[in-house]
Amino acid sequence: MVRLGVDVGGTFVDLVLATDDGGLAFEKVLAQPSALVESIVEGVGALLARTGVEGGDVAEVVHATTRGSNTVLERSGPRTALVATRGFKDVLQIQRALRWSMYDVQLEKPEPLVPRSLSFEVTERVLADGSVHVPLAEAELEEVASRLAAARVEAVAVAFLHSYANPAHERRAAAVLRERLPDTVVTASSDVSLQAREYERANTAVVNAYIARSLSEYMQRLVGALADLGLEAPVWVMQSSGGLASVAQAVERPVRILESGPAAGVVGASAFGKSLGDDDVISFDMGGTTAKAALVSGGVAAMATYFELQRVGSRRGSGLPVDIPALDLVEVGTGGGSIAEVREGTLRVGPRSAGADPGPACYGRGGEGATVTDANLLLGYYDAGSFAGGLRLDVEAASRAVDTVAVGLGLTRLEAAWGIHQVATLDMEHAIRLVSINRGFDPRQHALVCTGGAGPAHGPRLARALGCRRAIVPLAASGGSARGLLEAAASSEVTRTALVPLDRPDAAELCEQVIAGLVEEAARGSFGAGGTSTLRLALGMRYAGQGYELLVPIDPEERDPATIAEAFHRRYEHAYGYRGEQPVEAVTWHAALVRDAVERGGGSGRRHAGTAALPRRRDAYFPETGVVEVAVHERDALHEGSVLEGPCLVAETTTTTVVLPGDRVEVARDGSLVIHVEAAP
Amino acid sequence: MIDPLDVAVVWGRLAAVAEEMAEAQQRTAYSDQVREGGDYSTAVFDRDGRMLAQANRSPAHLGAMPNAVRHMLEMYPAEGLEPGDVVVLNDPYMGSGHLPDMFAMSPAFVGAALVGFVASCVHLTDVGGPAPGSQAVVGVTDLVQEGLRFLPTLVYRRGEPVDEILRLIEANVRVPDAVLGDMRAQRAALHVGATKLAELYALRGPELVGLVAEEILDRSEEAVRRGLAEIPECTASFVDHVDDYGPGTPPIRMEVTVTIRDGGIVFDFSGTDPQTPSSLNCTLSYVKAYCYWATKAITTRDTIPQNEGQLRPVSVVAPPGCFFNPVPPAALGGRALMNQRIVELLFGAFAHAVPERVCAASGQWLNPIFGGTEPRRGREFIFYDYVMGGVGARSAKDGIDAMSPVVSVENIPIEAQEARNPIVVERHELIPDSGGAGQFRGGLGVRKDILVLADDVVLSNLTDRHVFAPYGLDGGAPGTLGEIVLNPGSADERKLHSKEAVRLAHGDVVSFRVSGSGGVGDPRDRARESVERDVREGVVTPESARRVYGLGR
Repeated sequence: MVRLGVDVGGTFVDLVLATDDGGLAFEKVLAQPSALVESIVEGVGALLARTGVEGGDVAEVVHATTRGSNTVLERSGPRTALVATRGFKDVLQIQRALRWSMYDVQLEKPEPLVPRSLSFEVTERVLADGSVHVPLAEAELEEVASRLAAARVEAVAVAFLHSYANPAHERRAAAVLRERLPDTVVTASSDVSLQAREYERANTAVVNAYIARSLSEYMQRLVGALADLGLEAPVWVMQSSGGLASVAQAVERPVRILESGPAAGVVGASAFGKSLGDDDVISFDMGGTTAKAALVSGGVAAMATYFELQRVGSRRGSGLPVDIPALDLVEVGTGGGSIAEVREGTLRVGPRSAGADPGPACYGRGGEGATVTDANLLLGYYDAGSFAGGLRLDVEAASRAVDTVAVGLGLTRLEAAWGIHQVATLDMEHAIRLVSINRGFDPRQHALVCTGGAGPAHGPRLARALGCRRAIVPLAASGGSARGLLEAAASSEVTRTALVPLDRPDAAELCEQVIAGLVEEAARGSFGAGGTSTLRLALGMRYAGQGYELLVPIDPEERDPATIAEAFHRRYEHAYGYRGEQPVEAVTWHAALVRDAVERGGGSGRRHAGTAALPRRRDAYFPETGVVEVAVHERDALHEGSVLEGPCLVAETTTTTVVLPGDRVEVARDGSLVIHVEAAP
Repeated sequence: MIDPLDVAVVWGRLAAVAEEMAEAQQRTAYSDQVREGGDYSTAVFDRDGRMLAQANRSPAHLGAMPNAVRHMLEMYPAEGLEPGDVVVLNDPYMGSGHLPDMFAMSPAFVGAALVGFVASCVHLTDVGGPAPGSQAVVGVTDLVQEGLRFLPTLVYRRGEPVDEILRLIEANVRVPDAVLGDMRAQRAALHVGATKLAELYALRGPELVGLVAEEILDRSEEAVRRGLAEIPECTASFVDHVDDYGPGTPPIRMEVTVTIRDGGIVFDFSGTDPQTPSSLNCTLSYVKAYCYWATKAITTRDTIPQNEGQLRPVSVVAPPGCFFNPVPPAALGGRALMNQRIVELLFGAFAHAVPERVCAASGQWLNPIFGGTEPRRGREFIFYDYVMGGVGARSAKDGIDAMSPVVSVENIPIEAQEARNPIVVERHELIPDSGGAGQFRGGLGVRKDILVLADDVVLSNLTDRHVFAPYGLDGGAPGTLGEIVLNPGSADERKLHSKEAVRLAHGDVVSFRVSGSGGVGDPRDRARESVERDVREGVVTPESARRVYGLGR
């Protein structure tokens, strides 16, 4: 079965085609923001021509897109309005109002997508237990509808208080508005989130309404353009949760696909690990401007019930919150283009970035800051003759840039370059440690899967710092998300708030009730006929009286409250060093119906190996050895079972893997480099 | 000479340990003020008790931590401490500033060697005293009235609770579950911190970490001094007033004289009124904390993590017995509202020298605490709320609506408040025309109306700016005054005093209206598009636009 993965990122469209014989073919084209569909068509055309595959042979297309998040980023959505409970129309303006950069007098709140002038109120009130405190004033809805029409609003979010507990008012209001305003997109908050927290849920509904039209137009054009290439196979879209949705589902709830590219990267990492026998992995994806990581435990990626769009410098509270099931991604603003500076007499990397233009100093396009890429070049990790698909790098320019840092610190050029490399890795180490604690994971028991252009150069060092025993660099690691698309399964997720004290005599029945409701809801959003599916369940639990929950995966058949509580106790004790004696309560319930894998090609990842050339040699710096001459192995020349001893480098067109002294690499059957990491001294 | 890269790595790790402790603290906490309000802090210390890194949480504990840890070590010398020991302290004069702030400290060990300390401070929901929340202002004249006071006391011995002490706490506070829960959260933070700090010392060796510690403190000090040196040498004074310290009491005059010279800064509060016979007083450590805050805001901001070195260039002078340096047995529970007021006083003095680094006065936040019995579950509850006004206008842009000017407080979701307490919030909205007019407008205040669904509830109010409005700068107008109205629009409507404790009955509605924030510059210089946008967005009424900004003339 021939399958095609298409990942649209910020700079490139990455494509991968899995053919019948289990081979993989890759393509990378520039993403033109104004003509994304055209860029995709260009890439698909090239890929089909190169492999000789007919459009009609492709059985499935899996797509990840930044369309939704770009619409928010560019503020290019339509005039969007909010309809709220009387007394609460300012919910989007007031927000949670965290002072996200405490000492910064020039701080701003994130700008809401709906202005105050397009926020309206309707008399109604539901309480926390779902009871009706004030009935819905239907007559007012008519008036609001007229005002929305007069304001030429094209999208509307309806967000009433406590609609997660009782959505009746909200649904009724949405129905009336849809009827009165047939050309307007109307999203009720309870359609997209069943979690308590009024600002976050309202904003989730607003984002959904805001991006709906642009996304559905895009999807329509994409499906049409693919059909013109003879490609009429079903198109699946990656959701932020890591599961796939049909085009129809994606268009209905577009807020769920905002983070589709990064999610695909994690799904890929999880699959690569699993195929090599590692069910516990940390995915590490380091590109030009940021690095992202996620924890995968027992083959299941850690989930979050919330994330923020467009954070400033990865700071909590600086972005627009979205309450939907999503993979729990940690992001730091450190990538290959991050600029190093001397501040307070010490070395810092980022948050300033050289971006793609002018790019690192070594690109020779006028960049003067010392970037991580410049440092890696001077350390001998990158080949000046050929970088990221053929770019020639300017060693002189990189040297000048790094010297500015070296002088400030009283170091040699090489020491400074090593410092930049080290500090860049350090930022990610801290971010992963922090999320590990919050989730109750021990990073030492995980393998690190390294993707993105800069991931394989920093991953082995990061793995050593975290105490990971293995690092894995899959084939075509720089386009890891596109490959991840081919590993994903269709899924339908539901998250809801429902407080169940697990020590209540009727707790087992309550659990049964909530889970049954969740499964029913998930099945409603499911992928239609065909195939069987597996239920996954995770419960956000806490000790009675606490406010934060620890999300713990639970056997979906399990209904015994004591067993469920015990799973929480164990995770909690692991994280915080003690277990409480208070009763445990379940608060957030997350269910995923995941379509079982169908027979697929492309899993082996084999590709036609090139001719075996003798490795080149190059000087590279490692603190353990100083400057040494190391072998530079061509990735294409490696075969299953090849063993390499560090220090050495493995080069491919779009990335370089840096193997440290003491590490040993084995080439796995699927072409992955499996690095056995020596423990840090 | 020490390797600069070692400094970068070890420094980063120390700050990360403090941050990891803070996350553990917040995620295991039981109370809203810790969880949502960020009213806690965590820090790591070397074996000599010097603070190497403090997490970016409550600024109220800036500089208070080292003080508290020193007092704890005096009572429990390091030689006698063992892994898993936890010592607590809430004596306001030993660092905490008021009784609800509980410090906790643990040693970190590598093998048998003590390498450093970790500490946490949280604002507990209640420590006893006359009103729920232990922050009553009126009729409280002596610290002993305010609740439980701990001199340094061991509460965990080798990881095992000292039950006698915990029972003592349980018996003397309201909502003991929440209070003891938050203390367990402190223990979780200390566990995480001690483990991680020990790992760092084991990996890098105590000698290297010790050397780096010196470097960190010196460089941080230099950074602040460099920032101060960029500001022209100056001496400036500013005066502001707190309305009063209860019904029928006089205003409190606050005065500061700031001198910036030779890379140092001196805050002299001579001229400020004497301490009050109420719980509205600020200990010197609390005043210092916000002097550090304001100094950081005009120098290093968030660029370097907080540590003891950054405190060195700052001197604070306040005569004993004054409002900003009260002497025992002065009561202290009501100080919370003063956090932003101290900063505003200092910003007023900075405004001449560095107008681009300050903002006008902000809306005075409210910290009302409701306590009583839930009718449905028959359980005691404390509903601890905070309502943030806005932030004053900046030198080149408008202020911010509904946000704290100084602390990292998040609004607690109303859906969460209603699920936990017998209340219904009837409205939560911005107040049009409340932002002080100016070329740059002050942030808007907020109105929050709360319906009480229990009988015999005690409401303890804590706010200000009902008499003295938040000032504007450079010709900008002040923000509107705040007010609290009981049962608005009904026959028994009446205004409540900003610091009054009252009894409420089922069905009562309390309407909190936070003051607006000050503007900057002459309103007539405001860009016409900005005025028109404000009118369109309903934050300025058409009438004010005409009258104050001259729109349409």
